[in-house]
Amino acid sequence: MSAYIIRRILWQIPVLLIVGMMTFGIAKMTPGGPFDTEPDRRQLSPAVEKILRQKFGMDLPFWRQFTRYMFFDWVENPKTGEPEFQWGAIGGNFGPTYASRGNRTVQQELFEERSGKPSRFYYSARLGIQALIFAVVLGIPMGVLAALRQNTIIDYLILFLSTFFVSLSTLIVGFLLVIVFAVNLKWFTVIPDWKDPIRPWILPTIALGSTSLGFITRLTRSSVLEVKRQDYIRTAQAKGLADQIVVWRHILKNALLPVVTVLGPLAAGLITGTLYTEIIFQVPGMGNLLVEAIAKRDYSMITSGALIFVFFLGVANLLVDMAYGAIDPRISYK
Amino acid sequence: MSLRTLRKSAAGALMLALLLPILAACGGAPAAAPTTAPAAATTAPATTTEAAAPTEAAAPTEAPTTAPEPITSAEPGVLRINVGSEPDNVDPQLASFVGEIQYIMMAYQGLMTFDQDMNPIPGAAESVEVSADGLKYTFKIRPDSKYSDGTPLTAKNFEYAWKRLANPETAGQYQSLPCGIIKGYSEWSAAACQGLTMTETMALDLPALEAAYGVKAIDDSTLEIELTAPAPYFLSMAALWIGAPVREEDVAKGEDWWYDAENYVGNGPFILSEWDHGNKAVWEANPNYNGPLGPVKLKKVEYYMISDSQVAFQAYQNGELDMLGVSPEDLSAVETDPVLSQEIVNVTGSCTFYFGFNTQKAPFEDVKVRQAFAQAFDREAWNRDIFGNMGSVAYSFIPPGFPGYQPDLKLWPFDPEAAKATLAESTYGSVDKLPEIKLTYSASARNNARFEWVAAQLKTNLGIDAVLDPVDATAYTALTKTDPPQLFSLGWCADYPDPQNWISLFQTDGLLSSRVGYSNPEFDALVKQADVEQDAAKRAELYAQAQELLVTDAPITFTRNDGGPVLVKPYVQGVSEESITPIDYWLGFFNLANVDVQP
Repeated sequence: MSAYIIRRILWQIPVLLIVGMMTFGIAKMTPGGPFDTEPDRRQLSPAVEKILRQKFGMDLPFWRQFTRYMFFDWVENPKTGEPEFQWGAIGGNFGPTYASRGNRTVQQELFEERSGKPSRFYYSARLGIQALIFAVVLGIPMGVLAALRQNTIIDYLILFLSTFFVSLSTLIVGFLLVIVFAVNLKWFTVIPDWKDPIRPWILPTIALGSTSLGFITRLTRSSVLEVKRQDYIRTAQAKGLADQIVVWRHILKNALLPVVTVLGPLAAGLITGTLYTEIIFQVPGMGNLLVEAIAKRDYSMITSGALIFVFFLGVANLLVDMAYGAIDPRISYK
Repeated sequence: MSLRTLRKSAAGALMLALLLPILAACGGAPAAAPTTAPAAATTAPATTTEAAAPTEAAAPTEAPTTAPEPITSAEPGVLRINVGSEPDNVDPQLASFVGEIQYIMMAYQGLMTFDQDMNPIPGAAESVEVSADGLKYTFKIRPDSKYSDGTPLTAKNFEYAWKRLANPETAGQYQSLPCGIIKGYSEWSAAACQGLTMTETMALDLPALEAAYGVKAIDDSTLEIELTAPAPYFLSMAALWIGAPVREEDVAKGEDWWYDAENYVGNGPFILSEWDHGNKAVWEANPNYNGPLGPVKLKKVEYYMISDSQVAFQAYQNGELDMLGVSPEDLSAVETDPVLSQEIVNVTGSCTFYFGFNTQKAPFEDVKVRQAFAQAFDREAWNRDIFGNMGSVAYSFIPPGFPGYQPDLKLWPFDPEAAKATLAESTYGSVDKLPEIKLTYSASARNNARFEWVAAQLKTNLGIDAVLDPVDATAYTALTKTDPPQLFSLGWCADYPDPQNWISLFQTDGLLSSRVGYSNPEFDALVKQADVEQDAAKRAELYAQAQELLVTDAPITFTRNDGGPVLVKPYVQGVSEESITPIDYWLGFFNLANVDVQP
């Protein structure tokens, strides 16, 4: 098992490298650069732009820029003129952000906790985890219930609700929640107060989790229906097992396998920030920052965003595969 | 609060359109209804909006049976505004964007500031004396000036800040602004002003260049700035954020020293008491502020960072914001709402938008073609149909309200017949002999609709089939700098209120002339003369002549100035059409002493 885990982790490395190189390359190839924002304002003088390009290493050949970002490089200190060793992303240095004129690094923007204020990663991750828990804790029981009461009013109701949530985007659910619960009912404020540990999290969690909730409910339902028809269930019922035992031990355990499979990518997506939820509920997370980085051509931020997403996708998938082993005894890893 | 930060997302509009039926089912929130109008994308109102209108109109007629609830502020003395997003950098010598400057100018007070007519007046300085030759400026700092933490503010602090601006290691976006103006600036700031590389600059005798730099604190209360040539606009420049007196001990705390509210200590009207990054910034009145913008009545100002204008609109209606810009798409809904229409305040902006004709590319090397295009564009209809008459129609470069504005300079009013005649006089002779006309613009859902309208104008008025060429926004900016398209659309927003900030950009190889390849020796001579002229009336006259020449030559044709309605809650005092200026960092900023939030 541990050998398997180590192998899986090692496999992450080439994946991250390739994703990093492709993202970095595409970002660099896109026309326009970090100094081409706000067209109606005074633009950088070509001379200052040249200095900044030098400062950010943009005048270096592509491979060198990439290795500086990804691995390490000897960077010339502008004051002394001496080259100094500097780690890249593999050493935890994701580079300076262009938008801050190089005053702040990507890792500071995303992960730094400062003056008691949690990092952007904390906001995105917490929101994502909450949304996932919301979706799983409600979605699986609803799916099971719908399947066990197939073709009853309960089934139809759950099916309707889950289809409704799947079809509506987070954006729409988000606005709906704001208008109903903040503007009309006044249970919440439109502008959140993040000092409150619970209240501002409720609506974004529901908004972000709703699509996943609908998805998990539908998946659980169909999966349970599928398992319910299997011969071994009929056998279990025929040999006189109590309904509860049949459901918990035989149906649920087998039916959850496909649900667990989708949880991996779902979790990675939710945790690394979701644009619309963060915008509507003004969550100071990573989603908005990463999307804005694309328009600003903040190369280090764009690439780091992709790397972080892939990293979490890898971790989530690994956890899912390990969960398989626990759920299904037929699966074992060597 | 810049209008640009208040752009709404098309996605938000779309989603509201989808929401309409649900909203109606919810038992109606008249408050939510006005937001439905933007569903119409940009031009014509969509059917959903029309469908919504009756219910919306029904609400007010029912309302009078109950007395209207008085609108009260959440907390007297606290002003809450939306700034749209988190600034990327608020270091005064590095920052350049509107959203960044509005932090700097809260915390810091430069040597000068502006009055409500946009004239430069002493700020942190008590007085300024200009030598007879116009070359030496002596600023007297107000006595007993203090930073917000109580430490003394002296001329030395200003010397440090102005040196930091010039220091080649700083390399800020506005570093090139004082090039050639302050004595020794160009020599020291060799990279920004002379185009030297960083390595070459570092090889210079920097301590000697610093010593020769024309900014010196004579004593604690006297700062002397020497110029290379008379520059009457220098006083306006001294009011900008670039000279904000940052303290050496704060800057020494690290590259991102400005990121922590406790390091952001200034002499401005407010203290940054809390900066919840990505969410809000809280400003408290600075009791040590002794500048002309005070004494400040407000206790607090809160900046919120709501990026979606629909959410901000909800927050405003829910009483969580006190001022809000209105996007063009929201306009008709706001105007027809009985409550909101009472809260409208019209503002004038500081930007002029224009079409650029690349004079190096056919057919725009011919002045007659450029003039014909200028005549063929119906600016009134453009501003009315596309922008709902927000802002104003522009025929010349300097916008209304600014020094140097020429209301009577309207050389190319809309006249399709005259346009055709002008085109006939060109070397091309007729429309069918013109090469293909490509209209390049920054792509967005909103712009796509707008430029289709422009293309239709060209078709109707000149019979030209223009090809639309949308380009990604950032790539578009790069394009207009490196390889300006044949026909493109752009704008310019004021750095400071002086004609020099507008007109001199069109000197040969100037910031904007280089984008259209414009060069006219006569124009250059006028501007050169005006830039150093010390007689105010004569100087204004020279700029006026230059602007007239620019409009005649038509390397660009002006379309509109920004501006338009914003919403201000009735309990906010001191923010009215009379008391706001186009260069306000947020509305009413230069009327700060009179701004208050009533109960």
